[in-house]
Amino acid sequence: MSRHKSLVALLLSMLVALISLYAYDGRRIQADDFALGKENTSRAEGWNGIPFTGHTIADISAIVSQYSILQSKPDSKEQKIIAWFGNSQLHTINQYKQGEHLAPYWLRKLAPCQACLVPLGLSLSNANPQEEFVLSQYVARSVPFSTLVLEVEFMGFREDGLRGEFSKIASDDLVNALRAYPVGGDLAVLAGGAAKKGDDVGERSGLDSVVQQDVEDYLSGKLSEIWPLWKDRVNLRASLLGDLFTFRNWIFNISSQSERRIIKPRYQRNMRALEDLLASFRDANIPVVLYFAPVRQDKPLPYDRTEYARWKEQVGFLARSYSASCINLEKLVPPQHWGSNFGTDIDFMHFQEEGHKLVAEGLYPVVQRVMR
Amino acid sequence: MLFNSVTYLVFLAMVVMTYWLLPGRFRLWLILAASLVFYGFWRIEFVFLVAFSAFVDYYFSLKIYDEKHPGRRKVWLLSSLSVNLGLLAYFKYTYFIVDNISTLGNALGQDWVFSPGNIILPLGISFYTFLSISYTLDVYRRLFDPVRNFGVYLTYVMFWPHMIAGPILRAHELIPQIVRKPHVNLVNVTDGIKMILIGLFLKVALADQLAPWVDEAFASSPTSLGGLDVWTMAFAFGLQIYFDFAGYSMIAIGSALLIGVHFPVNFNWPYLATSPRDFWKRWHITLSSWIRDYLYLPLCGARFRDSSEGGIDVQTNERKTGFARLTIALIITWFIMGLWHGAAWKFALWGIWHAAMIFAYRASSGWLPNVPERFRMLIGWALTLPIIMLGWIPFRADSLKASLALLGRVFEFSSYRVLGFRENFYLLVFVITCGMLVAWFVTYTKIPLLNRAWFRQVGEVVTLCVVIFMVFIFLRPVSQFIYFQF
Repeated sequence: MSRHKSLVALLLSMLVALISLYAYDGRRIQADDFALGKENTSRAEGWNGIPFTGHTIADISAIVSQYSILQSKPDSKEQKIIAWFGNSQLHTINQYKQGEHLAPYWLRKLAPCQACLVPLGLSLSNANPQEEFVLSQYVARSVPFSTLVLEVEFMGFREDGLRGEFSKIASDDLVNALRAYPVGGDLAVLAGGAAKKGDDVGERSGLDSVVQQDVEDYLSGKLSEIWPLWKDRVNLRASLLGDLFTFRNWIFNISSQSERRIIKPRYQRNMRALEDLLASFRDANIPVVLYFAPVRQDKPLPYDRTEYARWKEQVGFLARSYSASCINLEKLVPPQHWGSNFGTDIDFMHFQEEGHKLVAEGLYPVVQRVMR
Repeated sequence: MLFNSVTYLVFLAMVVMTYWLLPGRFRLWLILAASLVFYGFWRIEFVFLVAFSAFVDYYFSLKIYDEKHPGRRKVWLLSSLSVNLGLLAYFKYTYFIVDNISTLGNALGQDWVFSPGNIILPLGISFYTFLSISYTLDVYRRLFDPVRNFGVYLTYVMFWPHMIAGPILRAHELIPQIVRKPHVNLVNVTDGIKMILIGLFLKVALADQLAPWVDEAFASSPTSLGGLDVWTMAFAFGLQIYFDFAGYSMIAIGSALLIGVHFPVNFNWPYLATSPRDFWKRWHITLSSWIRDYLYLPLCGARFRDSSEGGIDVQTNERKTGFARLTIALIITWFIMGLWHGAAWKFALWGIWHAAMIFAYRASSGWLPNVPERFRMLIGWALTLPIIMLGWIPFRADSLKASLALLGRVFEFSSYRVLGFRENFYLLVFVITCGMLVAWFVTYTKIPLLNRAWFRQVGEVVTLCVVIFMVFIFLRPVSQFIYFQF
């Protein structure tokens, strides 16, 4: 009798688990909505069919390839390229409406000759200075840009390391060039095939260079073909982690307005990466413009005031030490041009199109001056 | 072949079905063929190395058994041990030895640099070497009659569920099981599937989810971390390695059970241990009993008939062995145990840490005789858990220097003001630790309501449902098992 009970319990569990998986799959949220908030939309800009902003490593890589070819043509001599790095603020519009554009687009529009000024908007969601340093080195190796613009914001200094997608650009050349820097070690790891947390690049990194790899790919691929639920596992994982995140926020009453503090080791690594970036472009004689990203002013700042002030001071000090221009656009975007993430959850990072225009206008005179 | 992969599940299903469909006389050969395929999926060329090593032990064991002259028996035994330990030393310790010679040379102002070439560590060598040694020694001690069929012996060594990372089974535990011809048993099959599911859950839903946090934490510079960070790292890695290795063992036990082979339990809630000695009765039980029987007891001067299972737990004061000898045996055993885990001084430190804790426990075990047993156990657990967890720091840190720097932060009380990680890391480690304690409580509680049959049955279905759900979502060969590197 008990042996049958055990079997029945197993079969029943399998059945309930399967039903739960299908039910969960049906109500999953889109990963992008989760990352940016429902009110926000990621955008990419193009000019005459050629994209000049990208917000994934794949986009950025494509833009770099395209502009490296375009720049080698003789008629490109008049064209000045600005490499503009940042986080999702640069590629997201809150409450987006058809026909609206990002800051790099508006910067280009401000130039008397729009074909002559190409602001490449190269951003990653939650980018940190270590990633921006590696990206800037990657771009600089292929595209001869004349100015580098860097959005600096406090939240980025709480992030750490390189995301797995960086393995796609981790050429031997780039890895060797960066080996002398602390972040070069991370890049070398990615070049070697290992991935950082949360990335599907390392989906089967336990099988690297063993015979099982091909068999696993084949079997998992076949299973995905015949069973859509299996194929959806990446989304199921994202949804589950998203729900855990929401659950944690509910338990601890965390919202976008909760105070964030620095995480010292991460902060130090990011500050070091920023310094490396400034030093390398000073040595390469390429002017750098740093700007403190706009922050919502009508709500209490979700950072520790003292730490935030010290952070600004340190970034300013680094900019001065390495002869970079540093402008403060914190208060640039008025309250009416901000929005929310989900319903009442206030968004401190992404503004509406008007904010993008203001950022472009705020930066233009400085960019013009340094490019002269 | 990795257990946490679709390939393994397909492989297992095919082998198990074929096994039960085949006539009894072919089943052994099926297990051997499956084991060769399983190992060959990693690197086919090393199958020959394992087969060679197994043949040497098989042949020498027969010689030992047939030989009447004690001196010559010893020669055969030493020959067998030399081959096993020689291969282990070459593959596992060459770099370590060369590095240390080079360091010593530098200290003496000499340029002693050697290049050993590119040596690849054969998967599972530490484990199958132990299997082979125990077999030869048991034959030498006349505790086990050697098998006279090389196929059977090779199947014992290469039996896929245990070959790469244990459990370490003695010949008398496994060989009789693989040569008999059992009938399919529904309870074994059901229990085997459950064990595999729970093992996969521990690996893919817990250990693999902790791994990136642990990797990131140990990549941080010790000077940027505070005391609480080091404790969190220690607990995080302690949980990760437990889930990883206990998960592996459960999948191994479950896989063997599907073909009617019973393995001993390898983990028994080790973090609920009430003393360092108790911990080793609960953690990697088959290794600790192996070490006890083939290393510690001989070093203590005990007779080989003291063979036992259940961990390095011997009432040493009952033996007529001096305190000094026991202490030296303890230290040597743990030093070797440490280096067995990895060819680096940090592992030796880990071993010495455990030796010191067991020594301290022995010295203090007579204290508080009037304190009630339950209270003493509670105090024991509250002291043992942090001691064991902190011991994982040298095990996981990049080097001996980093280990000492991290341990130094624990004792630097002003460093506790610094928090070096994301808040989620502390939360995750806290929740998983509490979750483990709750799971233990629910499993062993004597509260009547929680022990009612219906509650247990519903609890089992709900638990299995969550396990299956999580395994489905997270199953992917994202990382190898930690013990594969040993």
